[in-house]
Amino acid sequence: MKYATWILLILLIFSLACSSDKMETRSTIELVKVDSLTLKPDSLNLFGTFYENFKINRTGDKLAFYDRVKDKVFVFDEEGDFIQAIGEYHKGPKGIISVNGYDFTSDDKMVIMDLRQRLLKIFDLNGEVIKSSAVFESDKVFVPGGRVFYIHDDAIYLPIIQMKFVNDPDSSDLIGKMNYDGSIIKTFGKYDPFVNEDLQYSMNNKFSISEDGIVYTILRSSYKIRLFDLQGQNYLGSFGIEFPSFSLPQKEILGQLSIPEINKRSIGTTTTNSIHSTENYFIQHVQVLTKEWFENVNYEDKDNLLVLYDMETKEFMREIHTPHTLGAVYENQLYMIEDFNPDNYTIGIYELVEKER
Amino acid sequence: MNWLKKSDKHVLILVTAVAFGISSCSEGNKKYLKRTASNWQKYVNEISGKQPKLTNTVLLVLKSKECEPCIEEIDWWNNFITESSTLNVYMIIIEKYETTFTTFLDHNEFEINAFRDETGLVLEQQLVPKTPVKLYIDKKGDVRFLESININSNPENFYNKISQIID
Repeated sequence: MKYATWILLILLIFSLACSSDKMETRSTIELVKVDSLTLKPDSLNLFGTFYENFKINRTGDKLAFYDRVKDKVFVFDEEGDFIQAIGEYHKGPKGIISVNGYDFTSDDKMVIMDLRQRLLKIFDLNGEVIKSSAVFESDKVFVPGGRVFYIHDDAIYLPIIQMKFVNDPDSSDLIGKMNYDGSIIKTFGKYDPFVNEDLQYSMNNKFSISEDGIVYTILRSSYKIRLFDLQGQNYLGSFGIEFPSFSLPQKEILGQLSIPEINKRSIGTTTTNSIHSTENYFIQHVQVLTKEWFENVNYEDKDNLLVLYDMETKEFMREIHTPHTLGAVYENQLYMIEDFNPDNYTIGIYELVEKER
Repeated sequence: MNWLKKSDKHVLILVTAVAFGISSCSEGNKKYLKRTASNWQKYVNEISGKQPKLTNTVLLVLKSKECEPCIEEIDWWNNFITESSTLNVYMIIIEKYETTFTTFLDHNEFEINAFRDETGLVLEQQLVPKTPVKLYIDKKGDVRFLESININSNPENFYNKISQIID
């Protein structure tokens, strides 16, 4: 009897030890590289500096980049072969003076918003203008509220501020729905009330639209993600936590400060560059602004991290620090810029994979 | 009476703060005005291997990703060198990549001689406080004027100041 008790006790200890082992072997999410591509520039159409974020068309076989030096949109195929440079640098219906937003239509046309000319232009991929329409003509009603520019179901979505609320932005609608004629046909959403507590002068809003028609929005300096229903334009709630690397400026950053002072106060702060929804994860691409970034304006000098949430429960999962900049997300793949050198512009294609720790 | 005293105190603090601000600003620029053609020549040699004569010279120091008003002013200097030979004009462009540097010059059709500073050495060596700026090195090799290039800057005024001491 005594032996049986001892044996039972030992078995119990072993089973507890095993179950505790199981508790320890929790899974974690990692970035795994699955492919890469290097852009092959056309010798007659060299590009200077591509902006960090780029666009991928609906079928995933074309990529478009905005060149800050030439103010043009460059289109490449999925192998990195050059297709076209869109937008001749001159005034008028065919020219582009500034690229303030661009995206592919569902039938592979390129829509470019040129706010210096207040024109919305649609190009084919031979670079020919198909349509040119005036935008924001009546600037007493709306002004653009950021660089985000999305085409979803043949409509353009972009951040706006209603002029009547320009001094009280949390009362303003947040997103404008624009047709291809350049008219804003609907506005919806509201600014995060955090905009009033924000120590930064910029009201820059980021947003993305998921396949199931949910609009996710975030203020650049905040961690809170707000949801709106695209169909009914209703507020659906919010999620997001103060993730470990989250950092606000210590002193208020006002627009009237000198640029060196603004830069100084912004060093070490986190800023959301883009947000994306995939099948399993919600991804917030955050950058930490560094002294080197403000000195030399090289994109490589910003620290990058991905803040991940469970797509279903919206629970925080982890933040992943990465040496590369997230440029775009297509389906469940993350396109990370590994080399910004125009002679060797390389994009690594990664997936988020759950692994046993 | 008490209110007046309090207000006087505030005015005094404000005036002191403004005076301190102004003096510290000018102190800040003084440091860069003490640099000489020889300091600049050493730096240009370090970034380019070249040794241009930098007396009676306007230097335009900028980044290739600098904003539109800066490009507009460079356009003015670009036209200036084609019409006048009273001054040397050089651009120093902070840019990591050679292709970006050449694309920037080609796209904007700049004909001003330009040097590429790959790592921002001009800031590291504290030759200028920030970018974009323009400065004039006189015939003796002293840095005489240093001004920002921005939406309010006026290259004609800058040139007029130089003209007054050139002769």
